[in-house]
Amino acid sequence: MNMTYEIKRMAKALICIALLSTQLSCGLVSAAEPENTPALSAEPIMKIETLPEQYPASWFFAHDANFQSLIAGRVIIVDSAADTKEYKAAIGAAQFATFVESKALPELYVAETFYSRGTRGDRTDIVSVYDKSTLEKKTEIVLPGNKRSMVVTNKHNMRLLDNDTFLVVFNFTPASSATIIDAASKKVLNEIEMPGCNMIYPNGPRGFSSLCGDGSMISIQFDEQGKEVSRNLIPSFFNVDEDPVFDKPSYVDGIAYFVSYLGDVVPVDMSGAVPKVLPRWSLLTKNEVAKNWRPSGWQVSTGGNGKLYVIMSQGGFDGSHKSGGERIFVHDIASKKRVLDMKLTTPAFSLELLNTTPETLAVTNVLMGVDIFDAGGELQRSFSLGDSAMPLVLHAVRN
Amino acid sequence: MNKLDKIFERSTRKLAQNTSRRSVLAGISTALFGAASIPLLPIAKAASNKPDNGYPGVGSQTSGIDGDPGDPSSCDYWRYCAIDGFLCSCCGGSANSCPPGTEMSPITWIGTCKNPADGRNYIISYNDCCGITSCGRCLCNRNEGDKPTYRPQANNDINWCLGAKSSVYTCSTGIILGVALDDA
Repeated sequence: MNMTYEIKRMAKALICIALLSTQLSCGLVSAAEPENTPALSAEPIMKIETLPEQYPASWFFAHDANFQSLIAGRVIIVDSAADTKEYKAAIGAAQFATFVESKALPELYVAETFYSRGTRGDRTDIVSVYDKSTLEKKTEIVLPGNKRSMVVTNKHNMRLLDNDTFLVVFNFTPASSATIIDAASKKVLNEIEMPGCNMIYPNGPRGFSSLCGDGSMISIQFDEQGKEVSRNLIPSFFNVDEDPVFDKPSYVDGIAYFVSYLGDVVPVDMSGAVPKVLPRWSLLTKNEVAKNWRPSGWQVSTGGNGKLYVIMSQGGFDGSHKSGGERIFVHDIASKKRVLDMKLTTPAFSLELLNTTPETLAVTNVLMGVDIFDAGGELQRSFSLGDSAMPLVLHAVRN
Repeated sequence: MNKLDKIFERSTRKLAQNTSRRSVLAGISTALFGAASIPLLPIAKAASNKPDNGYPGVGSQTSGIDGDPGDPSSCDYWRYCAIDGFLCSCCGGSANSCPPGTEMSPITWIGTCKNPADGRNYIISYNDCCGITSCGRCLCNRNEGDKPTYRPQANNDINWCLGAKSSVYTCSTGIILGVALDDA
């Protein structure tokens, strides 16, 4: 064998492989002649996408707490109706952050915490204000005292009140208080204390309630300057030791529907300045109670259009309330009748009814994928929001 | 199933088995393995004589204390009945100590767990270790007696590193405070 010839042949083969990797013809495959195919146009660099100022109703926000690195969570914007390019964008949400979308202003708010040296150093608590179209950070509101509540993602850690006029941030040190912010001016107006009572549940024309450790509720109204004008205590209305309610109620037509560990619905009319506890009712039949069907999940319920959706699991036990469930019970609130029983392939962990017509239900399953269901409970599509994403809380776009 | 699908499935199953600080795991284990009555036994025990803590690539341990049975690197360890987080035992600490370089949060939530060796109920303090980013090993979530955030002393959703110099969460311990009054 002619070694020189062999070396040349091998070198040629290597060059051909290299050329193929750059999509040039090497005479080994049939391809159109370059002169017969228009060349691709040069593309601009530094291009950055934008979003519409008003998001479609099919979009939703998925809050990825990012447990693998809690100092760098995010809120992902997703289109539930898309079969392509469903992942629209994301904004940062650091260190047990809380998110809320404004309906009155084209803004998104993230309450978050930073340290001057990453994981150490001086702490600064802020509300980051994002432009909904560009997702550029417009400004930030420094929260006095660095006392923002840090808890696994919970919508009621920060709420917009009074037609989005006031942004209210829950503080926990473990002393409890609420920081009242003027949403338009971004000025911190006041801090209101509510010892022993937690979270922000909007009620009345300009106020909020918090649940207390004995199953009671404190309800506070404030004026345009954020000063407290009334305070009412609603006596204990559930048994915290025997059958506590989840701390994530679903609001439908001004009524907060709290779901209990054992499957009762405890409605509280939040439309007035003083909340009114309404008669409780059960999600379950006697047979289901006997089989220990129980609500289970993180964002365990959602509601709208006169219906309440609850994630359910059979064989519940002490400690099973945050496991997720294999069914979703849908009840008509007026009749208290079950109108749909969704049997899931992958159990649900959190859920959110979107503001679409017809209805769309977004579900974070226990594998941390997101499943989209239509009004009849049929699975439409499934999304991954990232290999390590943990979208524990979903927010419907507010239309 | 193409290769990428397999990779994704593998990563999500790994996630399902080992991740999520505050609450996913019990549900995932139930979903994947029907272990409704066993809060966290995510995978079938391998046919091996080696002890299996359920976390691939994590060495098994003992506390070395008489009357303290089980594996502190396993989510099934009796003290962890209301824990929610990465086990410090897997992160350079132990069931009752923090890893080097971290700080223990002085305030926390409390659980009551039964020691299978002596049948007594013990008060367990789940102090968080803080100051370094999430450990990422041996994530364990069990919720016996867990109450919502309005009963904070019995709630494991709160970041209890709020009591440390840095509120950045690293991992969780399960420290024996004493025998519960009813069993004393």
